[in-house]
Amino acid sequence: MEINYLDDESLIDLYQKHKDNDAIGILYKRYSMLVFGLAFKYFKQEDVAKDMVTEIFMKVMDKLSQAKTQKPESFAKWLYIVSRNEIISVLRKKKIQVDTVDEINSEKFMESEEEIRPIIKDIDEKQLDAAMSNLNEEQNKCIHLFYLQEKSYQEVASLTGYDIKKVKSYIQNGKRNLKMFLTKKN
Amino acid sequence: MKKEELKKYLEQTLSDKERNALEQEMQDNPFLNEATEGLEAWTQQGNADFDALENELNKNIDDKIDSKNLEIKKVVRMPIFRIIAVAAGIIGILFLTVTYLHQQRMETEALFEANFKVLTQIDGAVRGEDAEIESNMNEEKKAVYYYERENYKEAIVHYEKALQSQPDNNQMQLYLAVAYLANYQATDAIQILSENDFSNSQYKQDRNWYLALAYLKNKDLKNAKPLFEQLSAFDNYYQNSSKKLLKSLEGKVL
Repeated sequence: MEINYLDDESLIDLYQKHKDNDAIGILYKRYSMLVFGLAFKYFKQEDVAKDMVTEIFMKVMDKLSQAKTQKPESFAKWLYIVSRNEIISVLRKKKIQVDTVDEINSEKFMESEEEIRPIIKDIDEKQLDAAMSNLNEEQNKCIHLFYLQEKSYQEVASLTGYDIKKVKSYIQNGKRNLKMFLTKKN
Repeated sequence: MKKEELKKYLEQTLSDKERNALEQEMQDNPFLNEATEGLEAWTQQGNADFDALENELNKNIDDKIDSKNLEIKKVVRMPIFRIIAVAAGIIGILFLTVTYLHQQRMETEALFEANFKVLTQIDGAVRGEDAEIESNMNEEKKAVYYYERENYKEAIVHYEKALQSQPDNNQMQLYLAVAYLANYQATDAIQILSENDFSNSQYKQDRNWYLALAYLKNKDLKNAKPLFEQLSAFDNYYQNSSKKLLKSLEGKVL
């Protein structure tokens, strides 16, 4: 059987039950670019980021091996936490301050990033209008263009005249406020 | 994770609609979001070859897997090979050593047996088939009586008693030593011959010969050889026998 086509969970199974290093390699390679991107975001150095990719791989192997048959519900989410904490740990050694995420509470951490799309989709127009009216002008504009008119960041930036970084920030904060308002309402 | 889609996004070859779809996913997926930010920063440094980057990252991962697999092979397989190899080596060495030592011991034993003859023609011997042991015989005579009749065990008892009253009697010391050797007590023979002074005795060469044989019997060639060498160096009764023995002992370490 070609193991390249196995899902994440099956590959973890192969690694944990049969010590199949190739299986964990195939799984990790699916995310190697993301781990690199994450590391590069913090270190801004290509060589360091590349090294981090292999360092984190070794960490992943150790952790999954120690976990025996226990496996994360979502490998991608778990890998993000492991990678981020590993990066932060190295940054700390270099005396660079960044917030860490407790792996034990990773699920809680990930919950805060609950998707807003189904919420917007599920509520009626009236409810959404009420929620949107609670946002400030910038957040309202960006959320409207991004989620309702499905414009890209770049397009939103062009249409609003805001900087792309600002657009991302307005969307992020607007999304959070929207979610809070709708949760309170319900 | 749609890697191809991400690459196209970074290469800005996605349509606006596709870009928005991926960006909406980023909003809900902090891993994808942060990684994309990092990759965008990487492209802003003038990099663009994502395939080359991915190949390099994956090669590094493969190298780690190879080294891990090698570790497992070492842990799992090496001990078996090593144990077999070491065990075979030890058995081989032991076998050869034991065989070699056994052969040498057999050879020295054979040399001793071939060269050891009891001293005869003792002065004052009690000879004759009819002669009987008598209660009024002194210890020396009793010793000689038994010695002549090849009862070395009894001879030893009486020589030892006789020597208590004549501790410097080289003749009795020598015959006692020979009796010891005949009775397989080489160490006792060595003790009595080496601890007493025979330098001015007429039995000096006999003493050296039997002492050398006692050492040979005990496989102590280090002490036996010099005595045989002394005896083979000048004309004496034991010269030829010593030379032959030395030749037989050439190359032996025991």
